[in-house]
Amino acid sequence: MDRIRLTERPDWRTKAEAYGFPFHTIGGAVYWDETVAWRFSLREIEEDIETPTGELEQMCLAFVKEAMKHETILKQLDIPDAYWTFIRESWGRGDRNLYGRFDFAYNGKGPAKLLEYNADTPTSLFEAAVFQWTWLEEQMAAGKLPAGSDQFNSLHERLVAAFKNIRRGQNFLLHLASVADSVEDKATVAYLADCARQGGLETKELAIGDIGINGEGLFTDLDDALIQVLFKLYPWEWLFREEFAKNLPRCRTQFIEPPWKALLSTKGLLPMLWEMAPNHKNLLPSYFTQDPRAAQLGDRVEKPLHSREGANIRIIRASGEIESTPGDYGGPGIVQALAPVATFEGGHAIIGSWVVASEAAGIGIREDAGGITRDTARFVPHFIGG
Amino acid sequence: MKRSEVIALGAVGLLMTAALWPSNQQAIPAADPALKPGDGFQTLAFASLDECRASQAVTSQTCDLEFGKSEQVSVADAPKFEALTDCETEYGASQCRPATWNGASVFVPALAGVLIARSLTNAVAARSQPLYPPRTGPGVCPPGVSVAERPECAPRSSPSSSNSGSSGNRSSGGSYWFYSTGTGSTVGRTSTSSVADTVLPTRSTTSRTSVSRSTSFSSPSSSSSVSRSSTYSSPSSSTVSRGGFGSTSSAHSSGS
Repeated sequence: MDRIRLTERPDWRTKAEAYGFPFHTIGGAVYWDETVAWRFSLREIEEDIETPTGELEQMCLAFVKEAMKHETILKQLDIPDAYWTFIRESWGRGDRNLYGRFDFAYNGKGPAKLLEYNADTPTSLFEAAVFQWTWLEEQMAAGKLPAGSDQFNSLHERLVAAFKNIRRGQNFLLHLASVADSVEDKATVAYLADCARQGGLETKELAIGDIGINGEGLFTDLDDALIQVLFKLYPWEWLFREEFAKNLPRCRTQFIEPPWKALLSTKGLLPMLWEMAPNHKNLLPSYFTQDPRAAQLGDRVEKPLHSREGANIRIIRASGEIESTPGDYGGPGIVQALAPVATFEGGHAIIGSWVVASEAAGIGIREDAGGITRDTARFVPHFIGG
Repeated sequence: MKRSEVIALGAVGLLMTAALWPSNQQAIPAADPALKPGDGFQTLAFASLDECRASQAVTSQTCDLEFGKSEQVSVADAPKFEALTDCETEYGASQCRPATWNGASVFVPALAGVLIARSLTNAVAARSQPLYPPRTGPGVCPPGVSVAERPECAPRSSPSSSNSGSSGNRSSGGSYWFYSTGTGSTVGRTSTSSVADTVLPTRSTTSRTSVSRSTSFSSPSSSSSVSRSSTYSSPSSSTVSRGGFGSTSSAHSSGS
């Protein structure tokens, strides 16, 4: 694994905009950065990332199965008890899941370590699935990268197949909802809608705030049509705490991601996995904040159960040195041992390893200055080459 | 190949097609102008040469030719294992055979059939690759996913029951057969039709010795958005309230 400098494609901005990737530059700052690229060997990809990703997903599913039986776990994960039955029903019915992203610390020198699992509303999808892919094809065609280079990225193919399989090949109308004013979220939803249509589904996009409820307690869209299947780029932990959510248990809508994903899209998963498989090579020692063992970790990171885009994270070194990010997420939290991440020129890189329908599907890499990956990170493409 | 083969977007159509076939695989020409992803082709899985010849979907000559090719390339194409037990762990008991590859003794899964792609527009254009028994594996199936659909989430103790790769039944009652390709993709068909209607990419093969990789067939992606009447939008009684969701988002970005 190494980081190389590369000539940018002269017209990549025009292409990004034509393809539906308007947030390639955010507030004047580069987000998509192809002046550099990460190179991996096939062994690193397959043995260090792809296989562990599949294994961790299996462990997560085993964990959810276990959590369904124990109220103490649901309580510890801070899931409001009004939704326990709602969650259990979605698991019991076998509601299928679409996607998720494991974030790994990995520098090629030891096993990848799980930092967190974005199991519910991961973004940075389009750039990983499509723009990174066209970058490789075009850079190979231009002779900037060796012909025969490859990339760990079957995201697009798998997303199309996963939508096709959500209801076992049955066609249906899929509603997709996101917050109205986020360019990135809307682009992510537009891309997923495109994948769903290629999988044979009919789609309709709407803002999460435009969802209505009818006299029978069922969710409706702006045309008063019933919402039977809803992809929501809006976290379960937020929905559960909103007044309107009282309609969820009786709504009969199938959700993507399904409600059982709420047990995985929390930092509380990390101490749970560590408890299940202590010393697993891809896990970091992690404890809930109030656990006395938390204090025994040396260099460590404190994270709230639910924070996004690197907010409210504190890195505490054994030396007493502290690095932290601002934010307004509070509530219970966890402590995790600090992992060695890939570093370069004072920055660091995190590997986002995707699963689609619970199978390893590819990676995207985000780089940031400092030790914490935030919404200021840059997306850097990767390739597999000798 | 570890990346998607074709990417199409509704906004701009087909972006590009990755090189579909590696040039190092003799049986399959690297560039075959007669068979392009955009053409539309059909993938057929045959358990035996006899079944292929009886099918009428492709000519007997094509069957002979493609089965012959698959036998020739099956050692090079298959995942290779140093130990029989490792191979049987992946493919089930009695599903592996010894072979010689680059002078070394290895074990490979036995040939369980041949996957043939035929062009719908050009009667002579066909490509093929060997099929192996379905891979078995430990673990938990994701919710809603049955063992019949994803054979690798079957427990290791129940290997596939026959050489044809039959593994379980579909809910509809018809028998469903599964195979795997050299790259670890799963191919499925019903017992009554050779049309391979499930070509799911699955986890890739990591074999114990280095392997020359081929790619599996993928159905051509269509770039056109589906335009048909809204048959699924059932009318409902009118909405009584709206705008209840979203209050948390004013403070945060919802993605992560």
